Amino acid sequence: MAPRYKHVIVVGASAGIGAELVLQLAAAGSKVAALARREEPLKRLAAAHPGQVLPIVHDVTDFDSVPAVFESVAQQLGGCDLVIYSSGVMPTVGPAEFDFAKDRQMFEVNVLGGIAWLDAVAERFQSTGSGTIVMIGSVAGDRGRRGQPGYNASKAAVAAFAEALRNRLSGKGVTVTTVKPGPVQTELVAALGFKNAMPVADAAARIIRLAPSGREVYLKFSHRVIFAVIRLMPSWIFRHIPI
Amino acid sequence: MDLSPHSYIGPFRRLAGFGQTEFGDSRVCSPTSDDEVATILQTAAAQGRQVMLRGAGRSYGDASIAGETVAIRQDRMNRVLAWDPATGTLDVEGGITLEEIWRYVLPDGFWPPVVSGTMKTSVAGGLAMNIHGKNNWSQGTLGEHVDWMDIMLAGGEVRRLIPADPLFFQIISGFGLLGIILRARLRMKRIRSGSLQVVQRSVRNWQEQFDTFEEFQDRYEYIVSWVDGFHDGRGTFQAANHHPDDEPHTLHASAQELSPYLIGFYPKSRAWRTLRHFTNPTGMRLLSAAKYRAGRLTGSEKAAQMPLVAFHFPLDFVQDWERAYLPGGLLQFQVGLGRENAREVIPGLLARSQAAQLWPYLIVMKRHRPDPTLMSYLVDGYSIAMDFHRTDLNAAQLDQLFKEMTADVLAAGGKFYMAKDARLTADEAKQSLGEGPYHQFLATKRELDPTGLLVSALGARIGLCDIPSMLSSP
Ligand SMILES: Cc1cc2nc3c(=O)[nH]c(=O)nc-3n(C[C@H](O)[C@H](O)[C@H](O)COP(=O)(O)OP(=O)(O)OC[C@H]3O[C@@H](n4cnc5c(N)ncnc54)[C@H](O)[C@@H]3O)c2cc1C
Ligand SMILES: NC(=O)c1ccc[n+]([C@@H]2O[C@H](COP(=O)([O-])OP(=O)(O)OC[C@H]3O[C@@H](n4cnc5c(N)ncnc54)[C@H](OP(=O)(O)O)[C@@H]3O)[C@@H](O)[C@H]2O)c1
Repeated sequence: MAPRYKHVIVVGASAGIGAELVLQLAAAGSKVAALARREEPLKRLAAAHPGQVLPIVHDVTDFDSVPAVFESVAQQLGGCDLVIYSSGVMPTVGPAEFDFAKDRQMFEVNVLGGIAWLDAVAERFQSTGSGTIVMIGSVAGDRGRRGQPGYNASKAAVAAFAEALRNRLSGKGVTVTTVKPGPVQTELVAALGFKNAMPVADAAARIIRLAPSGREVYLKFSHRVIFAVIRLMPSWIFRHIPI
Repeated sequence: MDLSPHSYIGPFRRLAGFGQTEFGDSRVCSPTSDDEVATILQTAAAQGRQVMLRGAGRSYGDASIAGETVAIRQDRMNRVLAWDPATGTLDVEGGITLEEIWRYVLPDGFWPPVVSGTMKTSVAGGLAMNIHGKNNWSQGTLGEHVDWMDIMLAGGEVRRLIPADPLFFQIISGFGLLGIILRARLRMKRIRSGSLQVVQRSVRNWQEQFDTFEEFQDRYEYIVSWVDGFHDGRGTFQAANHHPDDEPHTLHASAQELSPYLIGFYPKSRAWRTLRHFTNPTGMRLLSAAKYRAGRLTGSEKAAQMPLVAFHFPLDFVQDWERAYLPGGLLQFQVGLGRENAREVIPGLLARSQAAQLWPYLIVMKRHRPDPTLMSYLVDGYSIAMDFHRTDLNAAQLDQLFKEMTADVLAAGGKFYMAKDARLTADEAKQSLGEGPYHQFLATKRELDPTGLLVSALGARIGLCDIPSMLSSP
């Protein structure tokens, strides 16, 4: 059977969730462009699915290049009906550390790179009246936590941006989905030693299944409930919770 | 239009085949002059893009789509350049539609020599596919009524071609892959009245279908038959001639307008929504039976008068009817078969689809003669066009049926009409078109467009052009 998405671009595909998304989409028959800075892991993805994965070296903080990169990648793929933005960084930040360089890096990769991509993609999808955008946010964006101010703020920003696009593009044939994973077993959070992090294959499969929903989604029902409560919790209570 | 080298060549648009089964996103531009067309070609080439020519988008499959290309639409190059009512010669730009033409020439007592079943077709698109009408047997194809054409090659050079030029009947039928048809001089047909005299006969089986065509073919200019997809060859045959008397009052667009209502009150613009309820086997079986019954009741050999537009373009009056086939769309299978085996093969195609429980919802049969083009799809024989509703559930089965019917047609030396096709492979196309013409086409393509700038999804699918992808096909 033909895959639901024929031509997919995954930004942030050299590791973790993005790499797994590429493998699963290619296995289902999609042609996938895999973008990130590190070439070697991208080439390994391409070797795993010959003729289906197009490895492209790209740094999302090279903001001005994004529209041209996007168009050229779509041309090389032969089309584009799904773009997933999964690039993200989360440097370790000590409990008493305030480091603008780290916060800035998170904003540049997680937020500005994401906005540069979503703007370029939204413009095209709006005028073709079709297409799906998936923005990988995080449960960490639901509240400002004591441990990760910069990361939390970056994920809150992309969630708001994606929501705004979803509202703008609703009725124009374009689907915008925000995915808010909880802990997933990837390099990003390896140092944090989460006990019940979701296996990355599981997370990717759920993201692909939820891509057409056009909503803000969590990967587990329990997260939906817990984070609904957390979002409503007054700040003076929330600050005493050790997350 | 901003055409500086760094400029943005038109916005992305989703282009669909008329059948709504094939899609591609292109940057679309609508130039207004030769210079603009040349600049677009040049800019696209400089930016490493390919170019696809788009007429009115009435081809059912993927003839005028190609993802990630620059699409040149000719909707703004649609002017009448000269008209001589003394001789009936009309000079037009390629983007003009058959509708715009008939509205222009009718008051002077003329009508296009060949029209398709829709009047939305553009002249350039019609020539690229070399369209035929219900009068194909007597009048040939549109391309046979052209005195000259101006074409622009991929490199920007403009040439005027006349029928004696070897390239003339390659560009006509060239699927928009060899050059851009900018302008043409067409010979219009003189008429005295805006009406036709139409006779109708209800036919009960295949034998009667073919016999009726042969009985009428030399006495009537237009011959066509509707076949009931749920039965074995029964249907309604129609033959028509232009009304011989002078009827100046009918030579006006106003005399051709049809009522915007069905049965007196139901707006035709909404009819497709109602039709949706019938786009299923039960509904269509019912409609077909009703149509056949109506044909039996009214079928009489007595000539009835009918406005030209109503006879030629009935489908255009059910606005957006193709939308009744959404979301899956509509696949048409139109093939030409020689007289010697049409009587056997055509009934076999319908039997095959019925056996697969994939009933065509509309079938039209016509009588044809060969034409002088390189990529000809017409033979001395018959064509049958079968419309199939595609759904998520039947898509794979339908593809399988098309494979089998294609094999039947190839075995009988039949031809495929690329304006309707969406499934033929390069090998199948080569077999049907013939090795000789196929290789000649490729040689002409290399000569006229050495960098392979002009493409279409159809062309790439049947191996007549190349759309390079960094990825090989899975
Ligand atoms: C309801 C209906 C009934 C029809 N009935 C008939 C019929 O009776 N007989 C028949 O023959 N066909 C019929 N057709 C098919 C239709 O006439 C053809 O597909 C025709 O080619 C459509 O022309 P277009 O202007 O829409 O061009 P498109 O479909 O947009 O393009 C057709 C081809 O022309 C090329 N092209 C476009 N512009 C140029 C240019 N300037 N220079 C060179 N190439 C160009 C394109 O690349 C493409 O290959 C019917 C279609 C419909 C929807
Ligand atoms: N893992 C979790 O628990 C979890 C939970 C919630 C949300 N998320 C989010 O999910 C997304 C993916 O995370 P992950 O866990 O898969 O992380 P990961 O394994 O560290 O992968 C991150 C990806 O982002 C890419 N990237 C980083 N900087 C980039 C840049 N400047 N330009 C281009 N690409 C860049 C990396 O590629 P290069 O380094 O090769 O450029 C890598 O492919 C992130 O947005 C993350 O915030 C993760």
